[in-house]
Amino acid sequence: MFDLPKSCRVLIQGVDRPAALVAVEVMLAYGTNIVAEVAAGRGGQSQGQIPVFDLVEQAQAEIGQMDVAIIFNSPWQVLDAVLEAIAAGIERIIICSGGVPPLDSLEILRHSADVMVLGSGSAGLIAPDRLLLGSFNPTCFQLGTVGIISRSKSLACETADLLRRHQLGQSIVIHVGSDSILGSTGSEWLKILSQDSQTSDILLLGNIDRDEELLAIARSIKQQVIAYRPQLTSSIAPLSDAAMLLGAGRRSQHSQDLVANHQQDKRLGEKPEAGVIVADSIFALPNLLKEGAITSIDHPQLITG
Amino acid sequence: MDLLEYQAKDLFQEVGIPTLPSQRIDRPTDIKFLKIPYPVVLKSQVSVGHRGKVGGVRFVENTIDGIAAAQTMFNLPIFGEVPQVLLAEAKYDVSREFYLAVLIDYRSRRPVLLGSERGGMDLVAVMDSLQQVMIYDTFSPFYARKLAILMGLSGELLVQVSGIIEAMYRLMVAHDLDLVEINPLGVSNDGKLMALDGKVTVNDRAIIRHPKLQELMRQTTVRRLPKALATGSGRIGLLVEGRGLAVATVVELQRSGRPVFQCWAVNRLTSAEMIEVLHGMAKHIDVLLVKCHSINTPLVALATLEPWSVEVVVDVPPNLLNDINLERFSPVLVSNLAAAIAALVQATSSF
Repeated sequence: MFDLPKSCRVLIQGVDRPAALVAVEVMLAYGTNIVAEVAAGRGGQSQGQIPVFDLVEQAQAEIGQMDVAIIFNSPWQVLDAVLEAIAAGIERIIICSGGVPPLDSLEILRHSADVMVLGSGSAGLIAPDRLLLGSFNPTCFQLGTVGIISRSKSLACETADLLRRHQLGQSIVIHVGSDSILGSTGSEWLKILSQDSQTSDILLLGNIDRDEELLAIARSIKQQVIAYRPQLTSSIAPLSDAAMLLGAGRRSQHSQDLVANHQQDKRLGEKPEAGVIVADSIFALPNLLKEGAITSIDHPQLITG
Repeated sequence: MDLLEYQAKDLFQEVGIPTLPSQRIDRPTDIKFLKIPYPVVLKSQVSVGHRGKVGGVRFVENTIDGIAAAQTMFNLPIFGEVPQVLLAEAKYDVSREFYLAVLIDYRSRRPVLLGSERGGMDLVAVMDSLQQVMIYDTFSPFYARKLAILMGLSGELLVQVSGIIEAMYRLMVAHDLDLVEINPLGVSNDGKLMALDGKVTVNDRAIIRHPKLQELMRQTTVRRLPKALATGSGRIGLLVEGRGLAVATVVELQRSGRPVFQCWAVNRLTSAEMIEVLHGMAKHIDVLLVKCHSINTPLVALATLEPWSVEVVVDVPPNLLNDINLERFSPVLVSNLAAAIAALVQATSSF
């Protein structure tokens, strides 16, 4: 999805939602090529120069093939919007709406084997000076060589702003989404970004699952991978017994000691992991990026900012 | 949002999961009109778990005891939540208790069935014997039988328990639920099953397409207060847009030796809630940070407050500051996280 040209043809679904109105304006100003919009009941109208349709297939019949669909529909209508986009042969879908019911998310996963889905709850992506797809505020970002994969929109903007003040820009910034179940994971995006010649370092921001799969990718690619995941010392998120049991059950595959697991969760710092440099402060990121190869990727270490 | 037990059982009945005869009690005198024979169990209807440990479940033998117990229970907060409704239920003698749950595993992005042959209040025991079955494609009842076998069940019990798991799964799908849990599922001496307590978590976003759930939710009088993202022993209040950045702000402040009093991720708060949050913090903080990139509702809420002695640090794009008169707060204006933290550190250094 990141290799799309500036001229790629974009469809906006659920354009009657307030968030869509704002985002469309910002995207148009940035030069995004929005060719059609869909909102049920608004067919035949137009927004500025852009025609609005009741159905994606009507838009397709009139406008021709589209490269990306960006979805702003209400959370409970997102599954329908995704299926409609897939039925029309659109291969890249960004779900900006957050709070999609999990069972719908599973249904989306089931139908999107041949489609790239970003989100749900995603701000989309921005390749500075080239492409803005979604709801990022482009003023936070500037062109450079750092690729960012973030689980948090606000953290991505703040970090980019921090990097800007240290004369570091971004090749691409991807918000994988804020919902619990995501169409594409941090690992998938890490693999994609590693093939981008414009990206020299990759930042993982927020709660990106650093599982074995991701670490294996991080070890095998040429870019340096730096992660920053702030965590609260005491979690106040109310966990249901079932979720707690499930989590504990998973961890206990490695350790039978429930108490130890519990304490481990509450530690402030994180275990260093082979393949990824873990920053424990956001303010350590600019130096880590500038120093580049100060540290061998195979030797994990905890960096204090 | 969690349904209360009596609402969950209402759904259980819909799919044929066995529940005891029961009656809803809205005031202590309702006990006089009980149709269930004594002895009876009274249960506080609250959304928090483990109420049995703090007096939320009582056995009564007759009407006089029942009214007295009900009076106490209507005034007894369970972990801060005062019940509006009690459930009176027939007493049930069990020989064994199972734990069953159906939910979605966010990590593997699949539905998962959980079961334990040692259900009940002792979660460590549940965990030690917890079995799980992942649903790899479309659900089919054999997944439920697989779980029952992993739980060590056989014969008639295997058939019956897997039937209940199947019903739980269908309930989850039919109503877009996040979680369906039965704990305990009681087994009587003659091998009959009974869902003695249950928990159903409704997906807030999906509720719009389920009229039956909307009806159930209308009966719930418990008001859910929004919760602070983080609380601590400090005297700093934080209103930050975006959960990720909010957590980062708390962590970076901690590194500077400045614990917070409360941190709120403000995206989901209504204006009324925002004002409530500010009132709640006012007495406990010396300095407040408002950090937003696309909304200014926290500042609008702030501007409606009476003058207060709290110092205010604002990190909000200038275009969002138009039309908001914050003069009487003489706010410190900053434009990035580092500057915001420096201002907070300075504001709290004299205390």
